Order: sequence, then C-alpha cells, then structure tokens
Amino acid sequence: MSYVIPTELGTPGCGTPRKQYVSVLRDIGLPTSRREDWRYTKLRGFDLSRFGQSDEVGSIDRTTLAQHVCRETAGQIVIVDGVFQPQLSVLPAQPGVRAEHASGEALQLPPIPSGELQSALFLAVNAALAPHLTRVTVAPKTRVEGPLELVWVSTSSGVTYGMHPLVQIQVGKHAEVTVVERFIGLGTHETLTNMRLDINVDDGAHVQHAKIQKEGAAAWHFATTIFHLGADTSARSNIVSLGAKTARNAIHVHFEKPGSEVWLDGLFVGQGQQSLDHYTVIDHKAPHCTSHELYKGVLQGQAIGSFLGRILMSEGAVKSATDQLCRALLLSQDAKANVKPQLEIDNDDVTASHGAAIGNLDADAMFYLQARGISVLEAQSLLIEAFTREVLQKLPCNLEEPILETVLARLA
Amino acid sequence: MLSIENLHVTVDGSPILKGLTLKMGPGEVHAIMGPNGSGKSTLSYAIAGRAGYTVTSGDILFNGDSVLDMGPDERAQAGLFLAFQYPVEIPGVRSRQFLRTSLNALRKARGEDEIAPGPFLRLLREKLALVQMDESFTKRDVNSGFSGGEKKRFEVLQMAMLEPSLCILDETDSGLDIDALRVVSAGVNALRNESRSMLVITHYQRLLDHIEPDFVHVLVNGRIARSGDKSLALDLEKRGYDWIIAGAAA
Repeated sequence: MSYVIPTELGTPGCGTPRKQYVSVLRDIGLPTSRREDWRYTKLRGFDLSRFGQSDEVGSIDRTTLAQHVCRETAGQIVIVDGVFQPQLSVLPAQPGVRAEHASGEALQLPPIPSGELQSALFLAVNAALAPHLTRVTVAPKTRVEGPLELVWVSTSSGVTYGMHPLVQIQVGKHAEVTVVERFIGLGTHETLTNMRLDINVDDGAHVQHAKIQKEGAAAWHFATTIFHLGADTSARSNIVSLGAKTARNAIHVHFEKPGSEVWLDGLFVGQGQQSLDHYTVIDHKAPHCTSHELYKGVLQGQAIGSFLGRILMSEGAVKSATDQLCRALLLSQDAKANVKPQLEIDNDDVTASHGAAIGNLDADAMFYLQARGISVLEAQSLLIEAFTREVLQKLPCNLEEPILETVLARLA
Repeated sequence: MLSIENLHVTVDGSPILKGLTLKMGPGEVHAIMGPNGSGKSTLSYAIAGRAGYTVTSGDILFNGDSVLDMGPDERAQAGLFLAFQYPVEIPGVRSRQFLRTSLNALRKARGEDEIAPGPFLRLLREKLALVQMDESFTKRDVNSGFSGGEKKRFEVLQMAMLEPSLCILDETDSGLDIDALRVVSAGVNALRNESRSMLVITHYQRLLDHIEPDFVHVLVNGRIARSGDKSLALDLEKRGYDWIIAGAAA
C-alpha cells in the first residue's frame, strides 16, 4: 500500500501554467444545442469564468458523511470542496491496491479523445484545471474486497467554486473491483463539478462502477467516464442521477479487443427545473463484444431528462451485439423526456436492438391499487418503486434499498 | 347496506346508467344479470369510484352515507370491494407486498396498527388455502403472467384477506373452466355471512348454480328491468334476454 501526497495538494491552483489554456477555451465558447451530442444539455446561464477554485474549504462531520457513504469499503477517498481530506479518508490496505495523487511533474494527463474541441470542451477544461490526478491501481489477479469509494462533497459554503476531478482507475489482468462514486451537495450555492474518470480494464478483468449523484440544487455537474476494455473483460456501470440543476453524464466505451461485455444502466429522477442528460457512445471496434443499455427516468415538475445513445459498429465488430432500452415516466404535464438512439452500423454480421417508451403512470394500475384502499400517493410510490427497481436492483453493495428510499422521498 | 337511488352515469359523455335503483340489505346476495352493453360493468365501476364514470344524478349510499365524494381508496377503506373482471397486471410490484400494503391501508383507516410480519404470514397462508393457491404465487408480481383462473382466485384471495362488508364480483366467472369456477365459487361462498353482502354481476346463469343469490335483477339499457328470486335466472337461461328487452321497450 502506498499513498503519495504531493506537496501541491491542498493548495488550489497548482495547475497554474495550464490556466492559460483556459482563456483559449473560453474563446471557443460552449457547445450549443445545434451540436448533435449536446442538443439536450441545458447550458443557459452557465459561465465558466465565474468558477474559481475555493480558498475556503468547508467541513463535514463524520456523522453526516456516514449517512451518505458505504459502511464498509476497501478504501474511501473523501474530497471536500475540491480538497483531499486525509483524516476522513480510509486508504486501501489490501495488498495489490494502490491509491495515489499525482501532480506537477508526476502528472501525466490522459489524452483528450479526438474530435472537435468544442465537443470535448469540458474535458479540455478538466485537463487545464485539475489540480492533480487521482490514480487507483489494482494489481493483476487481485480481487478487491469491498468497494473502493470516491466521495466528493460540496459544502457550498458561500463561494462559487468549481472542481475538476481527474481520476484514473487501472485494473490489472484478471483483477476484480467495484468502484462507487458519490457526489454529495450539502448547500444551495452554485457549484461546478467537471469530472473525468478513465477506467482501464486489462484482459480478463471485471469492473463494476456505480455513481450516485446527489449534488445541490444549484449545481452544474458534468462528468465523462471513459472505459477502455481489453479482451474478455466485463464492465458494469450504474449511474443514479438525483441532484444538480444541470447534470450531464457522458460515457464512452471502447471495445479494444474481442470478447468483452458491458452493461450501462442509469436512473434519472428529476423535479423542478432540473435537466438530467445522458450521452453514451459505445464503440464496437473489436469482434465478439456485447453491450447492453437500460436507462430509466422519472420526471416531475418541469424537469427534463434526456438519453442519447450512440452505438458504433465498425467493420471489425463481427458477431457483436447490442441492445438499448430507455423508458421515462412523466408525472406532470410539463415534465419532458428526450430519447434518441443512434445506431451507426457498418457491419452486417451483428445484432442490434433498441427501444424507447415515454409515458405516464398506468391509470388501470392506479385504479386497481386504489380500489384496494391504497391512497393515490402510496399507489404512485408503489408504481414508481416497481419502475425504478429494474435499474436499482443491479446496484452493488446493498445500495438498492437506501437509494430507493431517497428516490421516493425526492418525488414525494 | 347499499342503496342506489335513481343513478345516472355517463362515460365519455354517453349516458350508460339511466335511473338505476337497487337496495341491498346486510348478508344478502344479489345477482345482476343482463345482456352485453346493458351497463353491468359501468355499475361496478361507478360504485367503486373509477375516474371517468361520472354520476350526473342520483346517489349511492353505503351504510347510509353517500360515497360520491369519496375516492376509490376511501370507498375500499369503508368496506367496499370490487373483484375485477380483468385484474390488472402490475409488473415490479410483488403480490405479497401489494397484499400487505392494502391490508395495512385498511387497518390504518380503522385506526389500527400495521400487521406484524408473523401474523400477516399466518393470515396469508390461511386464506391461500381457501382459494387453493400456492404460497409461491405471492412472490410473483401482481397478476403478472397469471392464467385467467389464477387471476380470479387472486381476486378472491384479496377479498378474503381484506374482509370487506360489501363485495362486488364483476363477471368473476368469465374465462373460467368448470374446475376453476368451483374453486372460486367455494372461496366466495366461504366468505358469505350474515353481515357481508354480495353483488354478483354476471352474463350467465352458470355462476349462480355455484353462488346462490337471494335476489336476481335484470339490467337492460341502464335500468333494472325486472327483479325476482333465483328462479328468474333460470327463466333467463331458458328464454334468453329478448322477452325482457321487449318488455322494457314497451
């Protein structure tokens, strides 16, 4: 076990030379809704220049923290207002598991995926402003006992600040690991999270990734997760989006070698003016790979939930398969869901299916439950529970019940 | 128990019930028969309080109080039970969870505590035996993938669990083979007692061989065209509905 704490850690702004890059990026401007991959993200009112790095770090006590995180983990890294908190964190103790922060000289930035810079704007901003790289390494053939949990807390202590987490998880050959990401917003002040997570899965390894996003009501949350998959791997991702004013989760999956399988699941629960956006790109470059996507949303108020799922099946993707399903439940007249599958298939030796359904609570089921003495609110809860459980039951680490409770409480 | 007075009900603006009057005393079993489209199901939905079934005049009194301003849940809490003609499949909701939620909703309305898991399971097993259902059914989602007969037995199971004072059985016999009909009828008969009333809605006399009514009413064009005892059902079996329809038109 080792944990390298760089000297710059805790002194925000260590990426000063890279800051010059930001001014260039500002000139490029934000992606607009004219771009296919950004068409559903609500960026109105967003101004990157407003978000500095926090000089004041808020605090969270252990009792409050404990309400939001897993009880038993293989390691827990807690970052409050962008600053690593060694006293709240538990470093991984298992042999073969390493967590470290790299910055300055040691910081090797992952490359920004090719494509137009505007599309990758937030990744570029992350590269420019991330204070350090958090790297978790799991040695080959290591089975990590319990989840590795990454916890970001925004205390929203009155400063408009942005954080740009940059995390890399390196999973060695035939290793197994579960990673849980938490985003916890304790205040109502405007904040920005702009995250990049790379999960590199070596041959024969298995990864389960869960993300519970409960940012504050005025938060902007942008996250890009990139999976690089070796041969015969499996990766499961389950993203639960509950908080933030505008949240965008982008997931890129790269099947680099044959024989891998991936499951991308998501649940988004929005109310008020929330805009919860999901953009996934699954790039089937290698043969004999399979991908599954299941996204579900429950929206009320004037919330907007979006899912845009791109599937690329190149000529080399023979005997590959993909299925995609997105369903949204609208609980109010003004709630809105956008669902768009986008299949780009250059190979006739593949199978692909996709489906989408947007609707209201089933009136027949509502009446049936009410006719048994169950109140309207309780009947709604039962049906929402039934709707969301399909996604939530796949969460690792007994997260299903507590998250379900949070979901129902938010909609009540 | 139940008193329906000059009830007029419209569905999507069309009048379906046109002045229906019916009185039921405690412990009585009344059968409502009638040709298709006469308003039988509309009557059951109107009593249960389904949205879209608009009472334009008249009243439904249950134990002396009008139920018209009550929601379907409040009517159920007051002791009314509708056994559905087409029980609704609810994927994702376990039957057992549904039964417990429902039972607790009724208990709460009566000011009682929620039923503890142990007593609930004992009650459930006792009532499952009544309708000859296996416990494994309660681990499945509500009505999901149930056969026609299983759905109807599950309706009777709910009735047995909730112990309503008025049961409305809407075409409970439809889609049942003889064996299933026997099981369902035996379940219903076991629930008959001096205080519990039943309104049995059916198209065919066959069901009334199994569940013997005290009174039979014939519904034609939204009104009760004729009432009698169980011999009326036998007449209908022999002669069909046409002679009553002709009489009602005259």
